[in-house]
Amino acid sequence: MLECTLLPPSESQPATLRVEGNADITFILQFKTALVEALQAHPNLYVDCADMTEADFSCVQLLWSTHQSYPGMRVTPAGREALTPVILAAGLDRVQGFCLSGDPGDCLWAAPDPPLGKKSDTNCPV
Amino acid sequence: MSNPHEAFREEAYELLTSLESSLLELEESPDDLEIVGAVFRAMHTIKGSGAMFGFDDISSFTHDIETVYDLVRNGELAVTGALVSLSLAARDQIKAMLDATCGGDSCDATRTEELRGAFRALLPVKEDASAAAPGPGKVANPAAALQRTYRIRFRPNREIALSGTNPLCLLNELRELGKCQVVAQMDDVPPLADLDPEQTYAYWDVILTTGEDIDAIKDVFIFVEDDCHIQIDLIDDEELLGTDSSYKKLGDILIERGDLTPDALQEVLRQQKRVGEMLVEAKVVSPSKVASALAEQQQVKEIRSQQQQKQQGGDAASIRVPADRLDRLVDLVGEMVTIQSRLSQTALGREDAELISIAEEVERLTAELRDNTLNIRMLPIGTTFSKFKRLVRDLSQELGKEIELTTAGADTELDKTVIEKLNDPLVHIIRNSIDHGIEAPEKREAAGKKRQGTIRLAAIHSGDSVIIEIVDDGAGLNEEAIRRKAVEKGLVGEQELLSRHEVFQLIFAAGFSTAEKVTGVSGRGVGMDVVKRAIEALRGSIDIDSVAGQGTTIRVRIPLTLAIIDSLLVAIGEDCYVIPLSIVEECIELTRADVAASHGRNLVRVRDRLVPYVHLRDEFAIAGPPPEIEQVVITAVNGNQVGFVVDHVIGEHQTVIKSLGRMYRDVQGLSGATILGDGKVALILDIPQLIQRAEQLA
Repeated sequence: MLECTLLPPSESQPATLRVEGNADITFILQFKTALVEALQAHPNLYVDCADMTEADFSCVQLLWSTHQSYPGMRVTPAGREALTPVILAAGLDRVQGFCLSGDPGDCLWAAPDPPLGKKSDTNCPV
Repeated sequence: MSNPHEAFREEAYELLTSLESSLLELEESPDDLEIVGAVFRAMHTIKGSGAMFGFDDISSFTHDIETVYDLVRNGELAVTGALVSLSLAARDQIKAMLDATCGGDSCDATRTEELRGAFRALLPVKEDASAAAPGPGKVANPAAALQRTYRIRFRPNREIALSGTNPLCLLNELRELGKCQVVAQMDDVPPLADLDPEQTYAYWDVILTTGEDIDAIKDVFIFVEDDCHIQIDLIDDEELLGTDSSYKKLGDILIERGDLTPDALQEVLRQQKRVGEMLVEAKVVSPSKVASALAEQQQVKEIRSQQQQKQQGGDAASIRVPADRLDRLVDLVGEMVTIQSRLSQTALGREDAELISIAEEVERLTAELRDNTLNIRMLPIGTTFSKFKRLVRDLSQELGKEIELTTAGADTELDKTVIEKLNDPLVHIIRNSIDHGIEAPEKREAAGKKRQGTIRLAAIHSGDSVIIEIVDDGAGLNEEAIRRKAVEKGLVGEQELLSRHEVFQLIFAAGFSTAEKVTGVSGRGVGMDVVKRAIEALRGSIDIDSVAGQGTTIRVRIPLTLAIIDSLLVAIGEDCYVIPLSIVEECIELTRADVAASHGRNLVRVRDRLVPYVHLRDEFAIAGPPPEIEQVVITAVNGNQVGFVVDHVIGEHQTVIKSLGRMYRDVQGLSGATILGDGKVALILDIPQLIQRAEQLA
């Protein structure tokens, strides 16, 4: 099961799409639909994956494609447990958009902690 | 896209077959680490692939066995008879689990847990199963292995995820082979609006340094290789590039991969910055491609500085081709042979020297093509032999007998189709040898024999056939019991005189059985007549000889192939018939005077022997008078000579065998048909069946 809830923007944070459950190939079409709908109203969307229980490469690919089309979209820092192993397994830890970007607008992550256990001396702006 | 689950099952069944052979070999040579390695690899592959394709129960069960064999190969656990027996039982359980996934009986989960528990009990108490399991980056004997570095580009089929295959599992499998850097290439992933999220657009560059050979890498992709683009290049070892710790420059790597043109590189180099940065800025290469090339450069430098490369990697000498493609190829070659025959006939008819020369050249090439194509389908019979080791082991244990199976000529090659069809008859013969042939150990000792009986399975080439001998050193056939039973069954008269050989042949008569009781091993209602019919359906023959107290020899003669045979083309009236050349001994003339001299007994004198013959014109009720001088084709089947009278012998012929349609399948005396050069159909005679029919009528 996958549940996507759009939280409106507040003073403390931009509009956020909360993703709960399995973001894998089974529900990936549903995930894309939710993302597209949310982004149409809020291009600087935050995607909160804290309650994502499972993810696979289709999910990561979708997030990457979304970020290419909507550079303002970010994945929130907390709870990347489901995504991190997939990113590492897919060899995306060296790929621009995930951490090696020299352009702050080109990174998927929203938080300043170095993602995926990388040293903070990478070019990653977060 | 072919079904990857089916591909997994197919491959897993093959692995289980080789696993069984390895386990039986391991029982004989418990210290052979190569065999232990083979067992481990088989389990490891089944486990990894099972997980990848969603066969989680199989993967999890196999993991426990793999863990035990990891201890064995590290010298922490000894191979015992009990471990081999347990492993064989586990192998059977995996097979049952596989069967259950494709409509077979459901698998006994309790049995799975029992076996799992038995394997876990073998682990040392302090051992944590997860720690014992091979993890990422764990390589067997890393110090001893020859390290080579490969560059792998894996571009999956876009529908790979939809088919249930997780490409990341393949990458993780690669990581288990050695030091591995994976870089995803996302260039082909479209913008969100165009993205079909169920498709996989990414591809991967992998730099792998491993002690395993290229086959181990190919094995990782074995289930997806038909649908995915996989390129594996050996990029570094001692003999290729020396042991210098330096390596190619970044630009050279990108050019070698085809990701960059030399002109683009030269253009960028004029700017005097770091080449990676410049290339990305110039937008001639994507950042991920630079990252991938850097990974390669870094890893090779690292490996080179760590240790010397010692051995040149060998490339794979074989490729996997689906059997149906080979069958199709053989069919096409068959068509080609038929057309070539037609061409030769037309060329001769027109008396055009140039056309005849071309036809001869086509004939030569076709013959070569035919031989090469048929050779591709040839498989060593050893694959079948190895199955029997298990059969003998299990049945002898069940019956409390001690039996050793020895094999010879396992490399002898036979057509794949023949091997498949030979399995059941051989199983039945061996079951009989175990059950009725070899005596119980005490009985053997009392008879002055070794406690352990022997069954010898040997294959040898003989012309266009293979002879398979099944020899046991058991009690031999009881001539008197066979005769008595045959009389009871009305197969022979009480006073009928029969030679020893003729008495033994009676066991091939329908419904004949001398076993006093029906056992679980043989006596399942399938007699040796079924075995004989199965062998004859393969255009083969079976013969038996036995010496009381010393043992029995069964000799099966099988043609090398069932697709195209050399034959003798004969004519009766307007029709042509085909007789397999392998059973033809000679041809002689039959005059009206010879017929009159035999006084209706259908016997012809061949030098100093009288040979019975069958008049095919009568047999097939062909109208019209026969020629003044007919021909008798003398054949030899199961050691007996029988002649077949035809109008004319046309000559040798390459016969492409076509099966008869359903309507004609049960017609007696015919085993198939072929198309001649002029387009006519010639029927292939089933000589053993014709002989049998003649014997019954007599």
